[in-house]
Amino acid sequence: MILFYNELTKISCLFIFSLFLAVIILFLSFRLSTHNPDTEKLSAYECGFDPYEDARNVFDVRFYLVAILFIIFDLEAVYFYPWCVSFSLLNIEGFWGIIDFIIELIFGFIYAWEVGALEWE
Amino acid sequence: MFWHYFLLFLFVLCTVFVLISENPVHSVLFLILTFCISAAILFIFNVEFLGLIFIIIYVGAIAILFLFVVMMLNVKINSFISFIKVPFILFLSFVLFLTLFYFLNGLFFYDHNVITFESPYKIFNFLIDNLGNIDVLGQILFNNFLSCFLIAGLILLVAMVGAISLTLNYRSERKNELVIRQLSRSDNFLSFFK
Repeated sequence: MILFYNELTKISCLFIFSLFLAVIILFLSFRLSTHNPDTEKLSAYECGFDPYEDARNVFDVRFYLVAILFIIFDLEAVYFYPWCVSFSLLNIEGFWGIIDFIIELIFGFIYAWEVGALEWE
Repeated sequence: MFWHYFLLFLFVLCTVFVLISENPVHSVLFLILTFCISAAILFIFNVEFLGLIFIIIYVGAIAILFLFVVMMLNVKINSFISFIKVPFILFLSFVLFLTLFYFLNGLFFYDHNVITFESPYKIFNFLIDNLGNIDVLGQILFNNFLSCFLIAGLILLVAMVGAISLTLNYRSERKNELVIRQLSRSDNFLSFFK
């Protein structure tokens, strides 16, 4: 825990330094540059005319499916992390348990592959 | 001890900006910042695994889902802020700040002697208690609660199958490109233009 606190202190010093550096750079670039706002400058740069519709389009639900599959595999990767940390202190059941977990993951992946959830027509 | 209050204040400030910002994409970005700050608070509480999960899952994945929801619902600007008044939001955030203050204040100063390591006696406490959160979780989860872990894997499998079967429309013939034919094409296509 003392080791962790030492590392956390260094990382937090780095964070605070980067925060102050970002604020200083932003403030200086805002302060030292010349501002001449104009209606033509402030309007949208889009081929000379105003855009007809909103920039956000309604798109396919399949992006959402890819994101959900990403979340599921991400959660499975989260389970691997404490296993990797405490690997040397586990029983043999822990090892075969993670093998079984990987096999379940592979079954899901094969199902997604065969059904064609990752393909685009 | 100053940084705890600073993080708490920043947390409530970002939550307020999630609610009162007019552009929904900006409120999603403030939501990401809120997740990061809560991860920092969890790091201070020595709950490293939960903090890492907040950064990996919530910032990495759930925030993308929120962005997709914002894109899909096609919410116009100023449609939400008009009927929820700003003073009401500020009042709610003040209540949230007070509850978090009294709740986290006790937690922050519960192990006050342990957190501030000033004398070598307290450093000795740290040396005894040198097992991290992730080590403890890994050993207990994979030694004692292995069946729960396997059931969690099955639940993830069911979630994957359910998400696929809800969103995918099955069709008998699907127009796909044949990978072998694509790869075995010669480059006559380019020589046509020469």
